[in-house]
Amino acid sequence: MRKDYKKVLVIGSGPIVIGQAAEFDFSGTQACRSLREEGYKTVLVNSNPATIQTDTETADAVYVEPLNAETVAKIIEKEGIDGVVSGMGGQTGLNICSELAENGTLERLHCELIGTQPDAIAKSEDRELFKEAMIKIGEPIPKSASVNSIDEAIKAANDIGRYPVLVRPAFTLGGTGGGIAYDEDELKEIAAHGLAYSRIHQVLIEESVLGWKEIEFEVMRDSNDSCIIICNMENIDPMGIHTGESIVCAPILTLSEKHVEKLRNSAIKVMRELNIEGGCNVQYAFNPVNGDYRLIEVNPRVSRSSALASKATGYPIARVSMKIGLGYTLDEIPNRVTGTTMSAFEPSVDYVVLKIARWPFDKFRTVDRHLGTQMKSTGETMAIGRTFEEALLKGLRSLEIGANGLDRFDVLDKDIEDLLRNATDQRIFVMGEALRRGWTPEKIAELTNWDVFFIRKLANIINMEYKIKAGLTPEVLKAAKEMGFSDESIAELTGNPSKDIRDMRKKQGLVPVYKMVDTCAGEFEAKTPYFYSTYGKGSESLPVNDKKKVVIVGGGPIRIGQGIEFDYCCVHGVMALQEEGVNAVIVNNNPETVSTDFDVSDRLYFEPLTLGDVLNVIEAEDADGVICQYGGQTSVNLAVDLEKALEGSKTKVLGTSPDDMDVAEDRRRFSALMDELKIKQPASGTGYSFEEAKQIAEDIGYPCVVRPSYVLGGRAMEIVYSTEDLKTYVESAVKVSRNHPILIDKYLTDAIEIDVDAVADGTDVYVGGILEHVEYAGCHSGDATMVMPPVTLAQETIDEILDITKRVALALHIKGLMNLQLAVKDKQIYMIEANPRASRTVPFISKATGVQMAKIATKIMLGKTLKDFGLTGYKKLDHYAVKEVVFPFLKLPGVDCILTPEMKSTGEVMGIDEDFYAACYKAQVAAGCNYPIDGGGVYITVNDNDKEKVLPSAKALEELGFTIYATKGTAKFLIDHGVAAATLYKMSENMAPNAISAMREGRIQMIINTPTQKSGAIRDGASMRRLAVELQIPIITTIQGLEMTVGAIKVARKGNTGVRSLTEFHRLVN
Amino acid sequence: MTGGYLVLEDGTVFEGELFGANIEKAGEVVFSTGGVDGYQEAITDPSSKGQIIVFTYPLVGNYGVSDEFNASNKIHANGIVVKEVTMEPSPFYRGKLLSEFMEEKGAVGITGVDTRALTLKIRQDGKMKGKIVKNHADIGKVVEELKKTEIDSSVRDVSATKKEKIDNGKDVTVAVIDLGTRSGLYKVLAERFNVIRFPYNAKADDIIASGAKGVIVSSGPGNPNAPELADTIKTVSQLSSEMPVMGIALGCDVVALAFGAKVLSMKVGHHGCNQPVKLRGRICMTAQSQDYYIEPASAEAAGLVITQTNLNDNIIEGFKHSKLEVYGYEYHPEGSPGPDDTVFVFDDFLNVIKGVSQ
Repeated sequence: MRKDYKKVLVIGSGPIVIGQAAEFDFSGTQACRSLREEGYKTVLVNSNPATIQTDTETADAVYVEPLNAETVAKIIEKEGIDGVVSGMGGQTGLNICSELAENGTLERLHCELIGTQPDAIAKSEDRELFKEAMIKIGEPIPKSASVNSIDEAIKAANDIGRYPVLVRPAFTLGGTGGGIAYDEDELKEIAAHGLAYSRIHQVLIEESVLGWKEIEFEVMRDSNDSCIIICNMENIDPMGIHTGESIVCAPILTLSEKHVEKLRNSAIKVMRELNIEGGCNVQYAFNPVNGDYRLIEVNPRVSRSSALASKATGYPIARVSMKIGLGYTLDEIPNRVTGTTMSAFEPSVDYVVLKIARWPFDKFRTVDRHLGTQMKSTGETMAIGRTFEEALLKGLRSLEIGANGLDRFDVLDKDIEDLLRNATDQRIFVMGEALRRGWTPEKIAELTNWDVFFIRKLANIINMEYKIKAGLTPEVLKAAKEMGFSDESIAELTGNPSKDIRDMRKKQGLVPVYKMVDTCAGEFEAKTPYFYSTYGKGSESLPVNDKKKVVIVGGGPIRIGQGIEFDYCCVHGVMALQEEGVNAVIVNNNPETVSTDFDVSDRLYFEPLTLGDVLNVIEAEDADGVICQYGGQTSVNLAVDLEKALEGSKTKVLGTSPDDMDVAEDRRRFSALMDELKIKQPASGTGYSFEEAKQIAEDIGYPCVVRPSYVLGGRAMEIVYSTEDLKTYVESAVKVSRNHPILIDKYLTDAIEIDVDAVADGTDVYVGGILEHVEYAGCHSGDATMVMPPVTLAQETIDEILDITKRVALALHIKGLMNLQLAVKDKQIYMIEANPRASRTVPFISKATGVQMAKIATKIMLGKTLKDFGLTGYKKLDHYAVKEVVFPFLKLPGVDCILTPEMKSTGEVMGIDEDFYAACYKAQVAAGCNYPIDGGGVYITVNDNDKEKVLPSAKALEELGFTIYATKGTAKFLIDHGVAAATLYKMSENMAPNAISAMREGRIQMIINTPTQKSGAIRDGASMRRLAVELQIPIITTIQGLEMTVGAIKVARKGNTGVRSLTEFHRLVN
Repeated sequence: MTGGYLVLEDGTVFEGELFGANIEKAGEVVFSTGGVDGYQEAITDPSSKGQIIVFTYPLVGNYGVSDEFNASNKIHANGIVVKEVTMEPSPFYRGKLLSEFMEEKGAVGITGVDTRALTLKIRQDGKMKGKIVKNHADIGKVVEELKKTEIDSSVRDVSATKKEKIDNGKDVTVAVIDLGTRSGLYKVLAERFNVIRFPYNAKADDIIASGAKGVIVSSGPGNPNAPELADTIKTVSQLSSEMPVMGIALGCDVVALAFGAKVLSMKVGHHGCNQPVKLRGRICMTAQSQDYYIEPASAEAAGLVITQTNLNDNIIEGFKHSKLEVYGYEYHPEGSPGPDDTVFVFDDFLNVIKGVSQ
């Protein structure tokens, strides 16, 4: 029975953080579509502008506002909402709903939760209630106790009777703050951490099931009590490694019918007892020694796993969950995949699906790479094959970590055992290497707790390597391709160029076929345009109409530097193509995203994004064009090679020509162009050796910014202050980027950095937005807080920026999007770089202004002009949009939180308001900065340059009632200038009171630390900053950031920030 | 392994490699969407007699073969077709290889086949005869022979040979007319009934005399309209006025025929464990090996009330007689192998028998 609601609110999940990524843009977007096709008035709130769900088309009203109970309550009240969807915004959304239910807001506003109800949420999430419920229905759970203190934790461990024990905090995401304690000392430490993270200050001490198989079920239940299993999954990594980190296969590959049925029945029983309606994830530990099992966890909402299950089976879990929430039953909801059957069925698959996580360790050289119960990965990739080997090899090359497959791995014999026993992101490669060196699969299985079944599959791959090396006969080539080897990988093994392998293969008639993901293993005719490649008979991706076809190359797994914003651009590309009557074809391999929803494009290919894989799709589709501007560096890097490979075919690389893209990417060609255009650049040079680099650095003078060419997210970009720094750098950077030289730029101290995003058609240029960085140049633009429009630039500077943008866009013959990064110092404008592609800030600007740049750019690539859209010049704003970012420091022990040219943030939020400081406040709240609104202690330690600059803010803070602490030098300066500051000593000064103990004692609520700009000094404060991260004391590392924060605190004190929908702001624009 | 072929009666050939017994064999080619697990149960199910089963899941044999998974002590399927037969299974169940098991039991398989392409072909063209052969040279001859071959799927060889009592220490005794039962059925019955198992050609009088208070007509292979079942149909017809009757799968068709309904061959059939029906207001997943269906108009004319249909294609999956305590289920309500979402129909049947007896 359909329920009536006047207006329904969908809550998003906020910024991308470790443990909560694009999957909730996918689920929230599906939910909104599902609601609107049923005719419900729909409102959406999410603080993350780089999402499809915050498009004004997604809902009747879209709010980009901070995600907390207070703000959501304001929206409910303002919009007159009577139904709030509880399960589409991850843990963030669920927690807000719990809070709104608990504090009586829902009742007061006559509002219901749609989907999982508060009692069901509590029963699944509260460990004690959960345990009680499971004992009642006789489902085995690990022995455990919920505790609220460290003493209780120790007692609980003693009751269980053996170490190790697991520590799991209640109400956190991605297992934050959890861990495995092998003895009492470790327990004390981990429990303290976990208690601090838990929203209700509670952790669970639990019997260890380490080494057992981890099995998951995605279950769906409706109000008729019908329960179906959408997908079951086997974590190949055993219990003890977070499922977000594990290599996961779907379906379960190694359990008998009897055991699968036993777990299936258990999952259904659990669903019924918890009274969950909609999608739900149930996790088990399964003892491979005796067939025992334990129920580990239930997520009463759509999740990362359900996104994976949706993509793995074709069953749209979020969409169906939404309909169930509205009162429909499974047999009333059509199956969109077949178009003829209903959603009341259990999908069957006829392929192997593998999910592999993508970790940010390439960005954090000091981080602890070990995998455990705490999630560290930022994204994931999914691969589909008809054999395990095929899926694995595709998955590994989809990761974009430089691997073509199960590549060789540099490791000493003596280290192998340890690397197998203690999992890191590299373990799979170590396994391959161990097999190459003659280790038996059984031995590897014993050390890793993998089922030997899977290791033998790796051994098959290694054996094929030997065959390939022994001689690439047509038979071997066929067998290798059938096993999933890429052309590139075969090329590497045989020492041939990959083009030769490709030609040889095609001559042999060896081309992939594309099979359909149809939810039913071929039993029914399906209409899904969702395909994967394999080698076999009969391709199913046959042409459906005679419209033009354009392939959009996606962005692959989410990583630092290449996040959800590129998926946003790809999806907008698809929409624009469709609006122009062109068939849009997506190639991508990220299961979390909207772009890989089979409902979004005309054709979806779930494939790795290597040259070979993308070319195969283009050829199979006989595409008219391909777009490489939208998938971040992944797609940009393919542009030149694709154009070369497609020469003479009908397929054109659309938009800016790859050669012009190369001008922008190639420093020498770009510098020459800037000289020609008389645009200043920081003095720079390209060094092909250390000696060359050293000479250049000395010529232009330290400090310098150094980086390899063709970088993503500033990878391996650093500021060097001396020849020694440079030497250290060159030794590590050369490894990062094999065939490319390093670039050396003069570092512009204290310059203001600017981002510009523009669309050009070859004749006209439209500047969508100018963003001013709050941090000085040198902090990676992906990490910078940004303000739009600029607040400190003079009009003449803005005019000059517009002029430069226009000239560069025209000179590069940009057709589509372009991003510029500029620096302003002493009113001089310097070009840092030009990116002839969609940038990270495109969705932000589009949300702030209401002009959808990616769509317009796509249409320009198809031949339209800016004039067709009435766009020219520069969009002025009457409101402020502030971009704030979130960092993963909390989850990655060993990482310094200081901002550098290397990008470290995982996600972003937007604060939008008419008042600048209100926008700052919203952005900061949305980013989870818990600034001390009500006062407290502020610890100030700034470098000499900043002492003068910090004074006004210090005074303001004092007036606001804060207690000011400072290091000796800073304190003296402040006191001399009339601010009462108490001195705190550095640890190294060995005097009391020191900063560390003041922090531990809870006297410090905020820290301002601008490090001295010398490499050694940056390290000095590292331990203090690390402690701040762990204690969750907000830390501000720039004076500009401090000024914003002080303004924001003042706004917060006033306490009446309003909420406004994007459409209301966009009206302000015109 | 040596090369071999699957030849279909329309002349289509799929190439692969042979495993299991060193024989060539013809059968009716059907596909099963059963998933990764349950392959051993499927091929040892007497219902699969005469069939060459194409497993839609590409990896088959992942956890080996173990006696505990047998649905009977023989392989009844005439052959299997897979994408990849696992030669190095997960060691957990400590059993043998599927290929060894097949060799031992005299069954042939072919691996390395694009089973999805084959499945789509069957879906479009319908189930058809096929033969797993070693030699490719005389395809024409194989096709000619195939067209003439009658696939043997008779119940006679898979039914019980004599009456057998199974005392489970329960109050109520049911008769099972064994058309080729799977071991799973007896497990489920053992929890509720004492059982007397009868051969397919048992006489009604014998069953009545045995003291059974209800009768279950079991699943089994082949065509319910086959002449060998004429007596069984007559027996069921006689019993239906004497005691509650429940027909399962082939047995369901036999019961329908006993009331004069028409039972026809399906184009493709349902083979797998995820066929949805709606029962008591809930969606239930069912295991099926259904190749025949009851023609709806004839069911009505026969006094059969349709209680459930397949939610995918609306085929009749269950009925109750309008007046008599006679029930039919086209699927395996006992599950094992397959979901036991519908196992409660045996409790219902027990209650019906108790109600009638009182």
